[in-house]
Amino acid sequence: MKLTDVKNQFADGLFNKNPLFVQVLGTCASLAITTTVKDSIAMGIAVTAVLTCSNLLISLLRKFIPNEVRIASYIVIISGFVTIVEMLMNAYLPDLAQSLGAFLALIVVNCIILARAESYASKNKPLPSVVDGIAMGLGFTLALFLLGSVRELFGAGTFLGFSVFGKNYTPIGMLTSPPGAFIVLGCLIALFQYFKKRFSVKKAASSDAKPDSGKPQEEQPDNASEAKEGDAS
Amino acid sequence: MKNVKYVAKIALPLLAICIVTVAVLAAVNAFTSPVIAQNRQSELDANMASFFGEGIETSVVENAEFDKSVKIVYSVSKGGALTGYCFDVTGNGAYKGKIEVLVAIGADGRIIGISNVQNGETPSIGGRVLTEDYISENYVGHTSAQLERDKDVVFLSGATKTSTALNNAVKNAFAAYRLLSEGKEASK
Repeated sequence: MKLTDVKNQFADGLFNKNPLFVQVLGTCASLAITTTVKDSIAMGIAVTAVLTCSNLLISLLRKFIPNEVRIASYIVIISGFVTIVEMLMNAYLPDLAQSLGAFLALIVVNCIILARAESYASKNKPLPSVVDGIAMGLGFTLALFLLGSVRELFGAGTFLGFSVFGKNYTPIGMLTSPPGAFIVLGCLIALFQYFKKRFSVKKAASSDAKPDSGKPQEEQPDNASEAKEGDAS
Repeated sequence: MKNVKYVAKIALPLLAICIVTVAVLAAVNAFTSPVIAQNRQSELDANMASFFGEGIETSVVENAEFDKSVKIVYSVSKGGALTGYCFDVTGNGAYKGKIEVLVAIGADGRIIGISNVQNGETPSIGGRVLTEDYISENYVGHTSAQLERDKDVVFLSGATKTSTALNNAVKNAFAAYRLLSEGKEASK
């Protein structure tokens, strides 16, 4: 695997195919957990760890797992890793585990992890799968961080627990409740799409060598583009 | 026969994955569960110290007549004199079934403090009941006769179920407290 592949994978994970802002995967946990920046980062890191480990193992076992029971196998592997992460967090980061609560266990059904297992790790070699896990996980963490920042900053007037606007600021309480989460997520997706379009148009104009980069990628079905990547590597 | 072979071909790998996963989980659990138990214990000790002050001695009290809602009872003493009890109790009726709290009752029969042990309530809704502000306003200093709804204790609107569960938990704690204090008088 080449360095440019790694670069492309990171660009995809963080930007072009950001799990939350472009693929809109794993919204349930994202909306519930992003009331504070601290929880957002913790959740992002937990998801990244599970995603990287499960991608590696599923990629290693991709020829051993029969096609008929692949989803069941993936779920067993993923839930195994989630339980390990949960036990480790309970043991060594009890405060964080307490504040994430049930959502830590619910990473099992976070569709990002199953989606990457199904569409990438099951078709690619272990190393690119690990890179994919890290890139997608970081993309998810970035998205959670942005969502959590907006909600904590304006919804509670604090950032990482420190007061930012002083005592005279009246927090917009709705932002910390679920409807506020939907509104913030919608605004962030719109903003993200705006920047993505501007960025990709510029890129296409400056270099004609890469014909792929100008096209809006989110319109392609994810599986089709992944299959292409799989053949290449 | 062909069918059996086919089923075995897809079922055995899945079985193998399950067995390996379970084995790994068991190993991690053996490794982390003592640490988790120790964390719980030190948190409990810190809670009891915040209720009764530093320099206390605690010991577990056994009594066969305790209701099954009472998980553990600690008697707390300071310098040899009994200062109160801590009850690890559950209360039914919460939004997600049960809540588990630690209720500290002094030797004079008044509530010293209540802290959360485990619950599945939504933090911004039912969780408001399990905050220090709510508890110190509605429970601290009350005796077993001062637990009536809307008279002695205000149930939060929107969180009636969690309020009910907390009230039940405190009543369970007092039921155990009564057993202990009656038992002591009988032995005198």
